[in-house]
Amino acid sequence: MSSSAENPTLTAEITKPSTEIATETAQSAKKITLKTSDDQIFEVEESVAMEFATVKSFFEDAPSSTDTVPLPNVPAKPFSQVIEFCKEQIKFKANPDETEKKRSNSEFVKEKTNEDLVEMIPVANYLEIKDLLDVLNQAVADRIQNRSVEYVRSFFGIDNDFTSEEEALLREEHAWAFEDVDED
Amino acid sequence: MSDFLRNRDIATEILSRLSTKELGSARCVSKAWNSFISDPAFLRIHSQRWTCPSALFFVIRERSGAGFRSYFHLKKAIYIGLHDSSSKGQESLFRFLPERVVLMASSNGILCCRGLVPSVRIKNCDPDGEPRLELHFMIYVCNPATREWVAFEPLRTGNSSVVFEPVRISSVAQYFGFTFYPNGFLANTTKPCFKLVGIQNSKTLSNSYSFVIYSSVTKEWKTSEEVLCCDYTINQHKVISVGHMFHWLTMAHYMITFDVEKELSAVIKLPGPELESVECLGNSEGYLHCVTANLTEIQVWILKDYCKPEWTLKHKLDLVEFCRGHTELNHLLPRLERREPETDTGVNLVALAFHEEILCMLVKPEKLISYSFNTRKLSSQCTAFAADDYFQRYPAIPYSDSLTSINVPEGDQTSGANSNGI
Repeated sequence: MSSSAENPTLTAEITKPSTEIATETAQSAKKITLKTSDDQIFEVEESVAMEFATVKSFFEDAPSSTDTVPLPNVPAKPFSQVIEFCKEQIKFKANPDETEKKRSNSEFVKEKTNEDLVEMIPVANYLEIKDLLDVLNQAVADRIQNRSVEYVRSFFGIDNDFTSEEEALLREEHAWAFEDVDED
Repeated sequence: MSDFLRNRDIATEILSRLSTKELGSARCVSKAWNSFISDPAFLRIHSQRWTCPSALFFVIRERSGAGFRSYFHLKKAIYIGLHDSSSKGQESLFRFLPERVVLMASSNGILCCRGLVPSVRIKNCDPDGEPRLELHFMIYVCNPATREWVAFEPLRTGNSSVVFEPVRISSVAQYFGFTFYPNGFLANTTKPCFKLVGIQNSKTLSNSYSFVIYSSVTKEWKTSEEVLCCDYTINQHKVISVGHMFHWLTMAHYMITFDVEKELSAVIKLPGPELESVECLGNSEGYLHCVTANLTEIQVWILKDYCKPEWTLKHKLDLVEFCRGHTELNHLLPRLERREPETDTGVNLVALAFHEEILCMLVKPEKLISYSFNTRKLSSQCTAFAADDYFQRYPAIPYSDSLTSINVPEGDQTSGANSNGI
């Protein structure tokens, strides 16, 4: 996907946003221009852009709009990864295969850093991409599962604001929660 | 990302995917995390996601006394973790309670126990002035994961009709069923609350049962006006609650039900032919289930409508096929294929409990297995206890750990709460 700020040229007027555009005809060339919070311009195929519920409803309100859609809460870096995910997803719309979809999803999160995942979550949330949000939430939960408190703090960049006495007391209360923790 | 908790929806979505055990540890991350995780709104969502049993409790009984006056005495409970095979004596689990207790029931992560040793009180309220001994066990409702607890007496003082006689102590107290509503039980209250229902022989009519109810909202006992004419003897320990419905197995192919909200009771026939063994009752997806077994299969039935009590077969496990498909059960095959009648001592596979689509079974000599009908996965735990001695004869109580609060009132002398609010 081009992320350059070159002149976006919209081919035709968008008549009716639809998810039925899966039929890969001439219509699939239709592109939608989106602008991220850091002023990057993305030209995205309509079928991909309609995966973003927020963008979809924008066009439902203004079906004939040819304007660039501003995405004020979306930085370019996580956005390009989100587009990558949605491109994969629409393949399964035409041809549903749950096992393959699961494999593809886990492949997607596997190669992402902790930072990537954490940055994509608010983007997926803002764009209302339910499938992606679910995949990301589970991926983050999996990564902090059975990890030490120290690991979780560094994962999210959280400062420990307990005094050592308070923390010792709380840990003692949850003594059973501290068995069998994986090495960091 | 130190503002992770700022979007509460996202934080809830992620953290509710952690098990109760992991949440306990996550509370130590920071003050903000601690208060977020302790928030009832969060815990409600978490407990909806984590309904699978995390452990089984076995309540051990012992016969005490001799001859005519002998009775089974509840002794202790053993905890067996279903995910990590950990086993714990109840001493370590209930250490936070002020006295030694025995476990009676479990509901939505909350346990109901009673004191091991009865308290004795001398009462002087008889019209003829004769002092009388009154025995009672304290009842404890607690959450072992948060160490929150509340205690109360079995029945209100001054109610002379419900004094326990020593010989009957164990039996009466064992018949209590317990239900915990994490979200309240009326549309207009969302605060957690619980109810206990005891079944006892009616004082006024022979061959009948009456019901006593305790509600944590009123903090009072009351005797229901409902009386059930029924000849069947209650099967000790086999009581289970599903929401507001309580169910007691009897020694016959029937169970007694009691609706604690409407205070209506009924006798309902159990599923399957009478000769088939009813292994246990269970609570799953909001409905009552019944597990039956014969020589070739284990069946799980569901009851949806109490007015028209018809059981529907929900799951069927062909034992030969099931044992063939799992290497850890292969050793049971020869006997199953010969369809050899199992004797009391020769039963090799016993269904112990069914909870939220998980069937827990005992495989002799020493294995505890749990099978999920949702994922079709089997997990097995070795147990440190000899199967013959413990598991088969004692009721298995499924427990799903949860950080849900019982909603203990502040400043109550007969309760305890952990120091959530550091």
